[in-house]
Amino acid sequence: MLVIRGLTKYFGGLAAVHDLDLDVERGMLVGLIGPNGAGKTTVFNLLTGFLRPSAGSVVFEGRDITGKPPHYISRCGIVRTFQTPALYEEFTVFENVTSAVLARCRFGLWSALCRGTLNRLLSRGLAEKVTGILRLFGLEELEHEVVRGLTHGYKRILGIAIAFACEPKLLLLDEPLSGMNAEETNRCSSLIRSIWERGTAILLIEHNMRAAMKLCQKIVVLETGRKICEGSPEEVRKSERVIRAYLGEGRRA
Amino acid sequence: MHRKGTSWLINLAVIGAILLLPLFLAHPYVLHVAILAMLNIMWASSLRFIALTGQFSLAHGGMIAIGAYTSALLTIRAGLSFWCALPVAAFFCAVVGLGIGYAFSRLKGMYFTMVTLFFTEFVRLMAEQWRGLTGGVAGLYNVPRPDPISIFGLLNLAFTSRVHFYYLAFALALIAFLFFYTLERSPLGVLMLSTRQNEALAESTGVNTTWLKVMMFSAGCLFAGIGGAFYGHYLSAFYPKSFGVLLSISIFIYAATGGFRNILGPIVGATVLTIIPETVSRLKEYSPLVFGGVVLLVVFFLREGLTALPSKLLKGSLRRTLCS
Repeated sequence: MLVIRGLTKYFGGLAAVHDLDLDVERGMLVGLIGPNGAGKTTVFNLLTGFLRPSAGSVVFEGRDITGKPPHYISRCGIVRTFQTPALYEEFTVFENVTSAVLARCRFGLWSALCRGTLNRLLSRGLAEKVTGILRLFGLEELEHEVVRGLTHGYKRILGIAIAFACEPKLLLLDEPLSGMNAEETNRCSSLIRSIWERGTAILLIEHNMRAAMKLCQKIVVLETGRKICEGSPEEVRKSERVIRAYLGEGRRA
Repeated sequence: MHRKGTSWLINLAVIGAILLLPLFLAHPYVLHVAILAMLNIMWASSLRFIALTGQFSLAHGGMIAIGAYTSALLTIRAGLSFWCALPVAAFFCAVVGLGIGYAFSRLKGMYFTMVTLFFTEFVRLMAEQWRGLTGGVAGLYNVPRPDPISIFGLLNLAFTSRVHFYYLAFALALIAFLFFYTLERSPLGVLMLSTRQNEALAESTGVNTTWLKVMMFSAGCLFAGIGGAFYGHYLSAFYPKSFGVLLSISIFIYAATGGFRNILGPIVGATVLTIIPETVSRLKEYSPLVFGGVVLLVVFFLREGLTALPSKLLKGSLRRTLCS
């Protein structure tokens, strides 16, 4: 489904991502882990068009999307969340999701002038759709809250809900569990699992190892922009190189 | 339902009052101020509309100049009727808006504002230097009046008196308002507000934010051009200095004083700031002082503009601001 070959990004002379090959098959839940500064978020930015790769190609469902603008890639079916939840802070929870659903429809200037107001769309099924998404994410009771006042955990969940509202084929989650307490982590993990069970492929960056090992079928480990290991959680756990990357070289090295 | 009913009544009352004003106050000076207020409303509304996507433009002065010169030159040199020249001029402004909107679309925040300011200055300098076309510093004069028209044989507008211009200005302002009102309440309006709040997120949900911003900028310029074209034929003589950066900034102040948050903001701001200095014009040199005073009061005590006054009064927070 997603085929990445030789993806490279230089910032000045520094290779943030170097010659990365990565495949995500349909219906997979893949984890992207690595120490701080390994280039995980850069990979996301390259995939979603927020950064242009220095070299390499990204092909999604047979379409070359290398270096295309973010909205184009999003419409192809790859939607991301952001590390620090990016939300429309002045909108209510309901409006946040509504905006994401509307972003998927095509509006010309003319149809916006003639096809009627937002209220009319809302009464014709849009409201139910939005409420359905909010219910799925357990946000229906907060629907009239302004986002600025939400707790961090809810902001993260809303971030995922917005991405989900875009009906992605491949969802990229950037540290969905960071900054959450144990209970929120559990709830969010099961949310991610239930999105995945609906048939959406997921690629996620995670720092919380235990949660990542439990969730993912395949894990890719990055260190200083290079892939050092790829495989099932079991294999990754045992890998020498991964242990070295995380814990550092032994005393004798 | 109840609220909808009453708000319709209010709308009708306001429109009726505006339509009947010339019957009671037919003094040419009063009408002149009213026409200026209508134009300022139109310009400030279109400026606010552009600001909905998070862009603060100072290109309005230049756009108004382009609209005025295009329409005037088309009637003087090409002998076109006003009714033909106005749409052409407006369309031309929209195209120019599309061009510079796209060229400037990579710039954000203050940098966008700066280049739009340069654009206005560029247009003014062009108008001064291109003497063969624009008449240079002296400007254009004897710009013809609009040709007489009759609407359904009921209303004969010959444009011999100010009252006719007044009605035309009102019609244009009303069209502008309805256009912006409809767009803002449409799904596109939601996407515009989304883009203003978080461009990266909007882009990642699939909104082509560049296209959206450029289109809305162009739409704003369209109405700047309509107002400009009308302005030229109304004054019948104008020169490059009528349009410079100062006009851009005044329009910005009208919108800001009324409040960018509310669609009524530019209307309130433009009306108040056009009428107040004129009513105290007896004080002559002090009238800018009154203008500045109103603006300062708003900046200090009503950041969200005059339209936020009622809700602030209700909450009593104004008193707190004043006392603290």
